[in-house]
Amino acid sequence: MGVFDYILAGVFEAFTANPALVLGPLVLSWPVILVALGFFTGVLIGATPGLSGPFVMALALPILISIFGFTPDALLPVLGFLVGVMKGATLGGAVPAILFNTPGTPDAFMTTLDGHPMARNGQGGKALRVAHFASVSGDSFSDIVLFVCAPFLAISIEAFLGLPEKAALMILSLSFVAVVVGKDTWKGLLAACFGLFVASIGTGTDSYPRLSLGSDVLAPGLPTIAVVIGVLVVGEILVSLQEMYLSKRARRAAAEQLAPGDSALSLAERRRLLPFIGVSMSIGTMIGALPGIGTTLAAAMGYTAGRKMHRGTPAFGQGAPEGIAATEAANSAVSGANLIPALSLGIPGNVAAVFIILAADTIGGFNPGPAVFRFSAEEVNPELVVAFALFTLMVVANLLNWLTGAWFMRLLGGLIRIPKQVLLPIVLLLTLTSVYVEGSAMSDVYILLGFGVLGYLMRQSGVPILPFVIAYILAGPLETAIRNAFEASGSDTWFLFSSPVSLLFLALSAAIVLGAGWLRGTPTPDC
Amino acid sequence: MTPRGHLRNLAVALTGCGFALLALAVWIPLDVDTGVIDVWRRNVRIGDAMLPVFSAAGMALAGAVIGVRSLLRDAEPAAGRIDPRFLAWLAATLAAGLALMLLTGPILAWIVTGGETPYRVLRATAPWKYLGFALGGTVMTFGLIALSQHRPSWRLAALAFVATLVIALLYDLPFDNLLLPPNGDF
Repeated sequence: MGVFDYILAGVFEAFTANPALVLGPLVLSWPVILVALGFFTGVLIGATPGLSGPFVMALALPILISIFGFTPDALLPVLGFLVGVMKGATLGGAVPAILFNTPGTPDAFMTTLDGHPMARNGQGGKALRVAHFASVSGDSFSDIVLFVCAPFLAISIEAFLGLPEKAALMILSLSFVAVVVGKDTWKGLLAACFGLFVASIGTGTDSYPRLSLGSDVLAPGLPTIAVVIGVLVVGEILVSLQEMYLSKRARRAAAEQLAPGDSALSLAERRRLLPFIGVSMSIGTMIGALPGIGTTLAAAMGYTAGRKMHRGTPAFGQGAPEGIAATEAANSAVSGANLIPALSLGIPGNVAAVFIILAADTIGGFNPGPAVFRFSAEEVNPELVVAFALFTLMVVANLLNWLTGAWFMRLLGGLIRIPKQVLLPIVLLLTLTSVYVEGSAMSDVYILLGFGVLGYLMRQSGVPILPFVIAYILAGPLETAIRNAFEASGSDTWFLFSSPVSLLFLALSAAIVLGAGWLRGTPTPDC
Repeated sequence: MTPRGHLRNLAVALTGCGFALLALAVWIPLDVDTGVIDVWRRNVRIGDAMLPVFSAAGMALAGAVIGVRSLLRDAEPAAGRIDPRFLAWLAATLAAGLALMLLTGPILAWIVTGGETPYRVLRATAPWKYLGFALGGTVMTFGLIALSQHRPSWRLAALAFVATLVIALLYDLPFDNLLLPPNGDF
């Protein structure tokens, strides 16, 4: 099969392989339905203050796996839903930021600076249109970079890197994530090492499952979904509940809700926004391609770059549409690029990528990494077909976003008024139920809550969560790569230092950790 | 240095170092069958202890640096607040909710059938399958809403009950093969 055949096979796989409805020549496939469902759910959740994309991903993953099972047919619908949520949530975050001055997601904070003043001037609808135009442009650009770069990067890695180099590359990525997430290098390293340790419980190659304490619950390893959702989602819920518990006497006035008002955005206005969108989406894509950095920094950098470019009135921070465009293009461009390390190296760079890798691992049949992009001519590489089908689904989500995103954002403006105090306990029960139904064991629920408390304590102590989660996910592949490299080297003790490339990667890892630890002054709080 | 930030960092350092040393000195030696390097049928290979040993060593190093740095540095704000009263209320609410979830079904089944029919037989039939989840879920949800709102009311209790019921039906009605908590454990 040639490259074009693989792309075509991927497109067919996405549109026809798993039909839900057949009307003559028209086929509506489950993956396409799930992408649409994920996208609209994502916009709705992103637009709800207190909730975010990872909440839906966490809730949906066990349910979707229960519905579709562990068959190859389940892969694309589940991945499609997650991709839809990822895209929708970023877009939705702008709605309350503009209309209520409350960012729906953390990366939409910068959107409030210009979005809300516009809404106060009766231009809420226009601000939403600007946010949508910038967001969807950034997202589409980032996806195109992903489609081109991920296969190229994977092929290069497969061609030039051997087993020790791949192991060293994983160590480098992990060190990078540990250092860049959060404000304290050593706390990031502590979190990453703890993630590796927790992942080693109940696993290994020996007949006795290591570190299982003789327990039947620990022997098969900790349930990955319960651990990840516990630390990421339950921990966040507990922190928010405590905030509300402590702020009982400092009750804030209800956010002022403004009508969308004027919503026209002319072609000339769109053209004026393009330079800002162009710069910001390039920044967002570059940041997204580096694991662990995330959308908030991209939004801040995009906004800063936009402010330097901007001339005239209104100034940034006083209702400039360019400010919204710069922020939204940057934070939306992160999502596609974040999948570059996830798909080409198997290294998740953000929470959405964690859930995509988690889904792929749980269902099976698709192992994100360099081997996915092996263009074998003699025999079909099914993983490559899945990868191109996933790209097709991302294009479908983008088309949906271009066609319906602006309308849906305006529609949500009047809907989202559920108080967090009511919403979060319900989400906690939903999460608990969702984890339970996948394994049908209360031990999974106890593990979920235990790791939720751990996530709460880590957040409140400034120990970043993402290095823990990424290390936990990467531990298995890293250990396998090290074992294989050691055996392939003929049991050479210095196998990781045997080639200049792996030596370089390891030296870079050490330099990043020590350099960042030394360069950073006083650590500042981080959650 | 704010005392809270100082103490928090020291606690993180001590927890990290303490856990790592305990793992290195006790847990790993007693609970892993192969060493860092293992010789099996004259093949030298990496043993199961490699990953936990290196990760624990990394934790010990990171913990030590955090501890030393927090002792030497002047100013460091605390990242967040850990409120013991909130944690106690949270633990009590979750424990009560989970206990009711686990026990309601079996106890009611025992009372109604006089112990003749075990709960395992009834766990997938209405109304038994909903009892534990509905009561435990309502108590848990209501408790947490009341905790964050500081205004327990019948309206909130009703809201918690309706939300729990909707969740139960959401999982139970469309999927025959899914069991609501805690029915899979019986």
